[in-house]
Amino acid sequence: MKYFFTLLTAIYLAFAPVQYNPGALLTHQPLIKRVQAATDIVNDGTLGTNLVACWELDETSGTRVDSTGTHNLTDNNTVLSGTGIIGNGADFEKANTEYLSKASPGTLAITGDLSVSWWYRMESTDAQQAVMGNYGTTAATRGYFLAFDTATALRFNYRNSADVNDQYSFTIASEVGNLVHYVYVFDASAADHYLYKNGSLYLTGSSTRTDINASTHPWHMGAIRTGGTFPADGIMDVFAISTSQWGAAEAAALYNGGSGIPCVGAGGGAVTPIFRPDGLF
Amino acid sequence: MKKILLGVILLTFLVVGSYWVYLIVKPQPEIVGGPVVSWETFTTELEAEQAMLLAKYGDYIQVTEDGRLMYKDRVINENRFKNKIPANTVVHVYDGPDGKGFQIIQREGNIERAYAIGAEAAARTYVTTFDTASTTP
Repeated sequence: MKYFFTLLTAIYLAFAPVQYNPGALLTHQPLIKRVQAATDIVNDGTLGTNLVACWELDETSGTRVDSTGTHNLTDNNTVLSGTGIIGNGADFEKANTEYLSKASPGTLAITGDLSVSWWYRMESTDAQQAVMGNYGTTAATRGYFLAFDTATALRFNYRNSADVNDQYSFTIASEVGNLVHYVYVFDASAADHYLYKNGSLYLTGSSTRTDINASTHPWHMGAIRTGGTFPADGIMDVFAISTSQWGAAEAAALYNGGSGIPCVGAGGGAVTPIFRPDGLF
Repeated sequence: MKKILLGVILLTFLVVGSYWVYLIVKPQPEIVGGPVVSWETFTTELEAEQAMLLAKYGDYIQVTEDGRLMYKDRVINENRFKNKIPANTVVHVYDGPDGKGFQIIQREGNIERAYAIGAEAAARTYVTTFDTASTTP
């Protein structure tokens, strides 16, 4: 009994250490906490850093909500939904020129490093199917676009700040009918291009120009410019875009063994208990 | 004298008849179902038509590149509206965070004109010239 309270205090301190709070408050947190390892994109320490937008694309039509709360997309010509990797995906019909757009591109007008992750089930071999773009028709409005020129060619095309054109085209295997995960990365300083497919590095290449023009043109998913040029024909799902350079670890985390991870909330990935002796999580 | 008069009458019939035949068989203008009007008049007329269709369907109507009229993902027949759309013109409908609207886009050579109604009208109304010197889109 003499040491009972000492023991009790020791146990309490072990599992609920006092933690300094910069807000001048002392709080207690348990030493052992269950956290999820990369179960979503927005809240992940790496994937969430410099994330510009992430769309789940679960909506059956109308506005597509950006999980970061910044870039909600307008539905053009009734983009309906189909089965994606997690819930629904946006089902673009080329014959109807269906696409999504953001009238004011804001931070989507990326001028340097760029990474984009998306799942895509191409539904036809029709040429010129855009992934994304804010590529107008005049010098001030030409930025970048990423598009399948054919089922076997994926091109990143961009203008630099002097309106000089540059591009790199990957020769890829046709995946018509298959739901495939792609991560495209542009390393601006080296003008290098990386393409990851289903979690692994697939192809690399280089171009010349090391910056992208800050286009004022609306941003599009499933088209490259206003009017729906290069409309997509397929289902896109969990679309994320960042100004970080994602690498092999990020591509694998996003692919998640074929299950994908959502922008926010529960998805794939195992719940892993971790131990932080400093009590910080 | 009588023969000359008969000849003039026959010639007149021949000329007038030929002109009527020409009117019947001459190539039709590209605009289907209506006279050529100014861009402003055209867009005003389409705006009025879309207002009626909005009241009828609860949504604006899309016109695809191949001339189909679409209400959401369904093809509809609205001949009065369809007949006002030239072959080089499409109508896109949109539904965004700030509301619904539509955009008329007409391409003539390397010039594209667009006129829009709704929350995104300002960003969607423009006249632009395509850079034909560029080999990229």
